[in-house]
Amino acid sequence: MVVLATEFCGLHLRNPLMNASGVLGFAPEHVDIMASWGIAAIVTKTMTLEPREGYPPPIVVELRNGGLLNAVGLANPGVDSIKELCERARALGLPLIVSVGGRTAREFAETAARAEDLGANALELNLSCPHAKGYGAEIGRNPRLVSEVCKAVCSTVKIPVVAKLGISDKMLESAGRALEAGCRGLTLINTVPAMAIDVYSAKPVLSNVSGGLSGPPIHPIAVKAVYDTYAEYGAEIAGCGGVAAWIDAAELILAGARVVQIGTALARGRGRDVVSRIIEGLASWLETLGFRSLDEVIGLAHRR
Amino acid sequence: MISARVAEVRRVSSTLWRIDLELLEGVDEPKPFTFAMLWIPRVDEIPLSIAKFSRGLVSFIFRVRGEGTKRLASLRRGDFVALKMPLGKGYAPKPRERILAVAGGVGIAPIPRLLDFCKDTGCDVTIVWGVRTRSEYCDPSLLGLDSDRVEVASDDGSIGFRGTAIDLALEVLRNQRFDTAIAIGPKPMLRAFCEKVRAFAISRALVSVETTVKCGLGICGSCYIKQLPKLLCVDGPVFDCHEVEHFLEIPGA
Repeated sequence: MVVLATEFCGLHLRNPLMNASGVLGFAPEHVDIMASWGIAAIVTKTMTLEPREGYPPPIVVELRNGGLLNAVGLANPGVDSIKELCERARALGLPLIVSVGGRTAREFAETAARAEDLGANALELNLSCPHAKGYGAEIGRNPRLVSEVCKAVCSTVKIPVVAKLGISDKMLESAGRALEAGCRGLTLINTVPAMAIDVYSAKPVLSNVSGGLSGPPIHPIAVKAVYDTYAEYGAEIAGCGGVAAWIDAAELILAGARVVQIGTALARGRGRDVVSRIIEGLASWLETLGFRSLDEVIGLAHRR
Repeated sequence: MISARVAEVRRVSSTLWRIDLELLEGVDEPKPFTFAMLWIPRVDEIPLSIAKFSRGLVSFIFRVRGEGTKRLASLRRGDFVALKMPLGKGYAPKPRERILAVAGGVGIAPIPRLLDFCKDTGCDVTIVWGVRTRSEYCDPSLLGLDSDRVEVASDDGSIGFRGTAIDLALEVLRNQRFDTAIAIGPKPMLRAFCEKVRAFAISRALVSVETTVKCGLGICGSCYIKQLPKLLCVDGPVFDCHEVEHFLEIPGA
């Protein structure tokens, strides 16, 4: 029997799969739904200090190329709402990683401290959302700001902190600054800036006009981001981007990911099927290769 | 999203509108009670029950409630919109199933599709439709509801039975046997339905509920059902009465 259990930034996980932030994750009912999918840890929606309404619909659209486009606008009930989520996750025996958003280092640190007090097991800093002004990618593509935010958070909380970065020409540098500042790991990547136009009305589809692309089209981009970052820093990485089947997860793991996050593939109630197939697929893949545990293949594609 | 062109918009009663759309791409045949997210370019995207579906045409019955439905009512023939559909599990009765469908006001919206489905598959539907007053009523054929079995109730007795849809449904239940009773309408009506229908020997009591739906794709989480590990846009909008007990207690329409 192969071992899929692993550890990520100090969290013990029964398998290497978690959801990507943004898929459900702000109500206790969501925790129940996600637990039923079989993932090993739950990542909440990005929480901010104060509640955010987000953008009006359309906020998510499916594309003809299998991708998904979204601009939700960091809608969330505010960080205080995670108390109930933590309680529910704890009752189910699942670690809860709180995704934290903010505009300034101070806001990040305050939100992070609150999340820790309310019972978060780890934090994922959203330094990469491509569609909310003043948040996310605006910070993530500026290594100096990444450093500031990560230092502020890591010097405030004791729980593990992971920086989630998106694709940009500063990604590697930002990743290095985040690790230097005390982040235990990285989540790579977020959605990629994108938009869709309806050809009959000749109008942009998302209410926010542009948003972030996820799903199968971005998977190879994620593989390279993980590969390059692992080569540079050998860091603990949560690989994220277009994972729909075990083979997609396997590729990210070979590139250097310790764990894998799934987002788009969980849409339309497919979570349970998708997760169980990926787990079965990874186990039989390891058997085929003659390995006993997942840890043995992390970053294997780098071996010369 | 599936592009569509407006074929016709008409007001059919003091409160109800019907819009017919010509689909420009193929879609899966919608089960009864499934819904669509209808996008009005640069205005809004709104969840609507699928009322009729045939050969590249889809129809919706709606009430003007906010900015989105106001703009929907003012669309003209030839305007373009787009749809995510069909969404949700809906409810597909089995062949020979005897169903009592109880609709309050604009809750009549998915009933034509239910009737069409049953005509094709052999289930049997009796319809009870409650309105507040005569002006809210229209000839069922205007809704594409081709049945002589629509029993009508009005709160003020200005048309049909005097009383609520539930009052009339209970009368019908006393005289006829059904396998399934399904209600759709405002929350207080659904609460009353679930409570009162218990006295009758029917195997399933179902309600089609409404909540905020933002993405329709099971991602944003807006449409979760209180104390139930389910989402309306994935698993609903039809639920067993006992599943939505807590949800129906939350105040609001």
